Amino acid sequence: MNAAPVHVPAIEIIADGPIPDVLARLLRVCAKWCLVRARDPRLGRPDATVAVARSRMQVTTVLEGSDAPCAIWVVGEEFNVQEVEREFALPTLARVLLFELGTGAQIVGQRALGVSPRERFLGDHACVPPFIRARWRRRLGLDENFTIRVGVPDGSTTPDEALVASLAVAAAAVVRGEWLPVALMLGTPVVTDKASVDALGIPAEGVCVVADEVSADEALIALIESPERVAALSRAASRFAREHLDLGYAARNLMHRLGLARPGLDVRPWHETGLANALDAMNAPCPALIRERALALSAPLFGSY
Amino acid sequence: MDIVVCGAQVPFMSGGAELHMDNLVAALKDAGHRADLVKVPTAWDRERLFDSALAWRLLPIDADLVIATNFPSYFVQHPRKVVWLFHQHRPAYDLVDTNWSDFGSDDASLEAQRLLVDWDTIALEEARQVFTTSKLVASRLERFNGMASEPLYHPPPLFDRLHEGPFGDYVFCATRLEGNKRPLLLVDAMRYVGSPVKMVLAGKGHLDGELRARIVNRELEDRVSMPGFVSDDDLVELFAGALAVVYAPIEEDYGYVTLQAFRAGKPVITTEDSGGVLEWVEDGVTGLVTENSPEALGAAIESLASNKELARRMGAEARDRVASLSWGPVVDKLVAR
Repeated sequence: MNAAPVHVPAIEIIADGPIPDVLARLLRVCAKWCLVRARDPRLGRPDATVAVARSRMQVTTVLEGSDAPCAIWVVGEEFNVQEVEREFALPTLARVLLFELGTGAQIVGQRALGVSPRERFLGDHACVPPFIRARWRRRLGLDENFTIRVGVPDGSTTPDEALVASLAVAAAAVVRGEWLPVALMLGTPVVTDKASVDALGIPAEGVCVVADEVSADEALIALIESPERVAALSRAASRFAREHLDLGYAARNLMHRLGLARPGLDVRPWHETGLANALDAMNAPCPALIRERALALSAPLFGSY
Repeated sequence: MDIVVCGAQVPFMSGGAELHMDNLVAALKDAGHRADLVKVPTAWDRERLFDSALAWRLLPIDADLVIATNFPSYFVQHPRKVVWLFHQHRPAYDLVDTNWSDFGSDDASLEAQRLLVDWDTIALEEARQVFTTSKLVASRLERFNGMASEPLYHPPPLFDRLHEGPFGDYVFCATRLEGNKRPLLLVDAMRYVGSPVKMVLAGKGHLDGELRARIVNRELEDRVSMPGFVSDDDLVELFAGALAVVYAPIEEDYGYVTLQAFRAGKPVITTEDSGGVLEWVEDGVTGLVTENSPEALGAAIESLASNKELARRMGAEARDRVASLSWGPVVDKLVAR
């Protein structure tokens, strides 16, 4: 028996003018799972639209012109997201109001989804908690206190994949610069410097340890001697990276709120199944046994959601 | 307030957790709430570990408040979820690499463990407040999941009925006869007791046959009796008439036996790796703490058998330690807005 064809959802862009850089990057990540296209009546109704609105008039035009679930990117000095939420009787199709999130800015509004220019696609790196790291180190024959230094000039180079693998099992790491978001996403307990945290808008406490070049090694040793602190930092780091540094998370969030399926993750449209939603909300990765079990166990209920 | 208490249960298995859930529901009702217990079957084997967690995720629970208790009941979704954590799935955490765990160091085990920690943390972080039954459970949560929580002590079953009595000629233990409770260690300890003091080991479990054989094999038939499951009335009297209570589980989460013994004014002899029991038993003050060998436990029993005044003094101190336990403050904390 042939498998049912997988529906690839289409997002249509409506923009009267240039697309802001952050939105363009966000849509490029969405394109990993969707067809992202310009408006073209010949292609039929899209599954969702993403529109850029620089004025109240444009918001009205977008809302009146589309019957697909819609995300509106609100830009310009004239108005902001809270005003749009307050002033417009938004139909249920306008599910998301997107906006560029500045440093320290808060996301306000039920439909608001802020995206920061700092965000980039970090890949599907799962958080590896400290005591699982310890078990991996034992399995791999690594030292119990195996640590690494990334972005710290030491004359050596390491291939990227090996670096990710090392960050995933290290007891802790000194990380500076571009690898910091990846390290945090992996839940690596990190010692870094002030310039790196400032560049990423990371809060001063709770996500990583900030130390200067001279005291970094001391801070690293002190860190791995406290299992409770390491566990708390690992969790906070991973969470912060996912929610504030990863365009992948923002893209998934946008697609979820637009009710779109993510091909490759499930064999049925995502919005039709609470089960898949529940699995996704729990970060169950694609090859996880529970995903296969859930789909197999619920197979007799196919279409009944 | 309408409150649903959520608990997971392996069908046909019943122990302290089930009593705890029932007593919590009763205490909530006593406080004037409408309370109900929702139980969903679970399985502990690694292959099916996440099935019940996912089932909890999808259950519609209409109530003003849900109180989730053990793994995986805290996966329930509710805008007002409070967790009073009895324990997580310990074979994936502190019991990994022991005989009680089916998690190894293979790829599948490590990934399942990683996912479990991630899921546990997500589900627990959703709660408005996370309480634990003991400091030990709180410390595990901090060490493995990086989460803070607050221990919330509660009275054990039969708390109002347990009473003091004479310091008799037997040491007592009522426990499930399972490996993690180490009843074989207790029986073996009797070989090292010179006084004519006896042991009464009540309860049932998979080790029943092996224990009876061990007693015969060690020629302890006159020293150790196993009455099996005893009624509440008998249990109260067995506590009241004991010289002391011997209880040496491995890393126990809380341990009702200790609190019941204290309520009956009896000191508890335990071991240094008995976990939550040690939050109550202070060596030389409310009981005796030894290393986990039959010789050491036997010596501790002998020391109290030969000095009943010491047992009496420690028993009185022990009873004082649990005097303030009651359900009222517990319910207040759990339902606080």
